[in-house]
Amino acid sequence: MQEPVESIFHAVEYIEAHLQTEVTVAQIADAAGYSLFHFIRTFNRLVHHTPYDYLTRRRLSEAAKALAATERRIIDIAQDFCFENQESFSRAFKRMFRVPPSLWREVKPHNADLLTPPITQADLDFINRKDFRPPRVVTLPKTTLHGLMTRLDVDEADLPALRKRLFMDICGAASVAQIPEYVTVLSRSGPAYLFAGIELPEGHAAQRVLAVKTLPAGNYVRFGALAAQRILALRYLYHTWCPAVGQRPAFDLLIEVCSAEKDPDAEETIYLPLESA
Amino acid sequence: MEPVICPEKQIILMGMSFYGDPFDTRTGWDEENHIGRLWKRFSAFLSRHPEVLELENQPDAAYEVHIYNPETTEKGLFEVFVGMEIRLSDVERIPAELSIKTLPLTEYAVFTFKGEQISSDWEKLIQDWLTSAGYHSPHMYNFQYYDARFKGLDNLADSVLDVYVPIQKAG
Repeated sequence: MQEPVESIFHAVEYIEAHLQTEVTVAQIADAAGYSLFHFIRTFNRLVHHTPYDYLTRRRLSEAAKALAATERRIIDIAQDFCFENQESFSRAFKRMFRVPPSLWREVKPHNADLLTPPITQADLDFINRKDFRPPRVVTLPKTTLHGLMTRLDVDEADLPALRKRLFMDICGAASVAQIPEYVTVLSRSGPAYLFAGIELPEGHAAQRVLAVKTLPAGNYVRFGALAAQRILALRYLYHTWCPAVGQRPAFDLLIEVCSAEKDPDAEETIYLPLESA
Repeated sequence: MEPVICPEKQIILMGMSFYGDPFDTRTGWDEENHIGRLWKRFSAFLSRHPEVLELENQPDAAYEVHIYNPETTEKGLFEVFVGMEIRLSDVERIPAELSIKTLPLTEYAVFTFKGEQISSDWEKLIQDWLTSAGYHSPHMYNFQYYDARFKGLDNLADSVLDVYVPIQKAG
């Protein structure tokens, strides 16, 4: 018998190969070498999705891509991805994306975080590492930060370097002796920008050169992750945790508390604002 | 792994049920699954209504029934019923908060699992045995039978669990 993670990854691959073919959860279990009951138990434990939920989200995500990229009729796309009819497709689509397929086609949202990507081996390793601590919902007060911002023209993969640079500039401008951590705010509503800032100690006058950014009070999901695992942590929050617990993140705002240390193993804390229920 | 064949019997249970994916993590991964919550709901009811225990036909034994339907194979959704055995004559005395589940008159193969086997994929072993022994299951359910030999989830090593599967000779 294979290790569970290996068998479950095989099941994920089997699902990916059957997005456009009728398949039952029992057949997926069989392909993974498990009984149905043990399979759903193991899949939920290791993937944090129910198998059927994952299959449906993946089908809807690929259907959404097809809607934006092709002229194919909605009913044909629904059938391509094994939905019984256009009504059941539209209902499921609206439930996942909050807009009907016709509007999605019209607007063509460009934010890839809206779509559930295929689970990778790296995702499974991330979720199942021994020190995995689940995200928590926290309520934060209004927070005022002082810092610098820049238009975001770079690929988001280059973000860590960019925010380090911003941080160094803040250190020069803020005249604060020691800054153990700083906050970055990535905004994608309108032209994307990155803000990096600090909470100034009480009584410390802000330098004029620094911009002010106010983070609204509200519910956030808080998730700690190593800087090197930032992308995996974000994938997990957007595509697994939020849908599974029925939370809707604000896709256009991402807040991260970064350590000022140069330690590559430093942990960062991600905060995603949650839309109110 | 050879099961014991249990002669035909009908079982009437009183209890509570859940329908869905029992391991759906909607409530968070650090909490117990829906089956654990169902057991808790049932136990809490019994502690509030100890008089119901007088209806038990098999003292200190409990059943967990997994019932399959077309959605089970398609979507992984099960009905899980937890309960206790009662006599047919007591059916009318069951309070509204509990449901009755009648398991039909049938022969069973009884598989006994110990220690780590309890959390293994024993359903797969059972399916393989049914095929190799020339049986099939005429009904879409099986049940786990918990009695004094089961020492709790935190003490699986010293626990024993019986799984009953309805059987009929194939062909």
